[in-house]
Amino acid sequence: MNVTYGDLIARAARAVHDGAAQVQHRPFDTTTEALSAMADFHGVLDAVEGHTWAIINPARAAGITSSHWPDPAEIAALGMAAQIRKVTGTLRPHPSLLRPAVGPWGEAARCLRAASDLLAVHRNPDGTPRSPDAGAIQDSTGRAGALARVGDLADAVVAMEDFLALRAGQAGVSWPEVRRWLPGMAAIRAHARDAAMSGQPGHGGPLDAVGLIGAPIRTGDVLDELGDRLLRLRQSAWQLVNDPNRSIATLRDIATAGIAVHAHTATFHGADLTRAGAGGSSPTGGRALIERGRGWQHLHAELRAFACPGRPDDVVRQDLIGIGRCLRTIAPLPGQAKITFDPKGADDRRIAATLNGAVTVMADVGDYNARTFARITRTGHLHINARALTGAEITDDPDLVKAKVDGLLVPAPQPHAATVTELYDVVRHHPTRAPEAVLAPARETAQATGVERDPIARPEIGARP
Amino acid sequence: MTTLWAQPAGVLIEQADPGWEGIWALTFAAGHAAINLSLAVPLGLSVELTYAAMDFREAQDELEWARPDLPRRCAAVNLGQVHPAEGESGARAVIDLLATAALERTVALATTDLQIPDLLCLVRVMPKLFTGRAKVTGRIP
Repeated sequence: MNVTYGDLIARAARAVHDGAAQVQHRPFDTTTEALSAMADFHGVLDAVEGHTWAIINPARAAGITSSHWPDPAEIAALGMAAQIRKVTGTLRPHPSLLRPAVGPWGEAARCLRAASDLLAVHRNPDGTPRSPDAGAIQDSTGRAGALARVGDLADAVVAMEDFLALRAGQAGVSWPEVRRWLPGMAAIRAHARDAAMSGQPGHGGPLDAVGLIGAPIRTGDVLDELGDRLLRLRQSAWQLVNDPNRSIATLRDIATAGIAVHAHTATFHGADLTRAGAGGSSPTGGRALIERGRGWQHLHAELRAFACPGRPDDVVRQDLIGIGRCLRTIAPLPGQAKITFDPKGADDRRIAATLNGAVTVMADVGDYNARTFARITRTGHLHINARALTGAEITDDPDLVKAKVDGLLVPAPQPHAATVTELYDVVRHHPTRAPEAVLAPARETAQATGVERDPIARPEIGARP
Repeated sequence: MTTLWAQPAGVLIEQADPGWEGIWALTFAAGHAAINLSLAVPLGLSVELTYAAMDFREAQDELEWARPDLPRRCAAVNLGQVHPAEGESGARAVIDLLATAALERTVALATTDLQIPDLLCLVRVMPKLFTGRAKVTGRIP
């Protein structure tokens, strides 16, 4: 099972609750058991502190504390982390990490530390992103939401202090020893409440969906598999932007996925894809999906003309074939037989959610691919076989004429690259959702006046006038 | 001006070299034809054709990695847009013929005395031509 950040935090919260319920309803049998529970209690607090630093980059701490107007969630969380350290000590690794977690609080600490690790894998040690989800972690809104929830969790943990002290005393632990473990945590609680009050603890925002990078593909359930493969495709497309070996072949392969995703989603939503001009006249719904599928298709055709300096990404190609198989299974196109699929395993709502998510992912992928293509164009590594050039394109240049006769590779003329850029400007936006408002007019918003513009340049067979 | 695909495709199949050049030319023509047909049919029918074009292109890439000079030396035939009189089924039949011709030449070339890297290249090309053709025709012979 591939866990997400939201899953881990939810599991930690449940484990905190279980630990609290246990202490409330059952006295400790032995002194050892009581000491073990207090050690686990410290372990959870230490994990909360560590998780705070996973959300707030430690390099920013000095800036936050010296700011005249710091973010309320961040300043409260930093105060909470400092107070926790006073209680749990500065010994590293923390002693709770050197013994196996046995109780529910130990489990809560384990989940929180796993959540910290999950966030950490999305950034390099120097803070640069390693995945498109790193943006969600850096985003101040998402960070404030996550800190609010951590504060809420810490508040719930610390609320058990007095009751735990009572149970430990009942079990025979000496009161000085109890006070050494539980010296009074009102300061932690105050900061934790401040952090919790600064946001909406119940809503983690975009962080909740963040998962691991390179998690294995779950092949047991077709919808899970489709989601996993699409996320891996998104990650590959994002990595391609900064990859010096930018292959046009991979961009072309990804365009194939764009066609398939939109065609199958349109079919699922009831569009008849066997008729020319199907999907209705409305620019939203089925028609918009079909047009977007056509946009990806024209992109695929245009990219075919360019030479490929590098080999295609085999992982992308494998995902592409897997995505096609999954789509055929859950929403077969007309004429395609449904492959073994148990409809009881997934209701229509779950299929719709997965397919709509796929359309959103492809818009992200289109954006990353647009940036990749722009970089390839800027570096001058875009080549085309001169035979693909028209007479009008070569007529003024004797070198191009000779190259066309000899079938040589030449730098792609600007109009060819411009056509691809225009098509990317269409597919990088969600087909039905309006683009988000931006403060400054970006290049794409200035040029792509028609998100819904018809990219179909040729009549379909059987099209009616 | 668009013409029917059958005639130029027939000439290409008949005159294409039996070796690497012929395989490349036929694969190139089949891939372009699959793309052109996919742009001419409704989206629901075009998805499989695009996957087929991807397979043909992958086969073409394999040939070019083994013989980088093939694009320069060979005839790059693009059959152009599909003529309405040809229809979807006629166009599919032409792609089938092109892919079959490329496949037959590949099989024949693989039985000759080749260097190991060349032989392995053809081993990679064959399944791509086969699956590409199957996606166009909808049948596995």
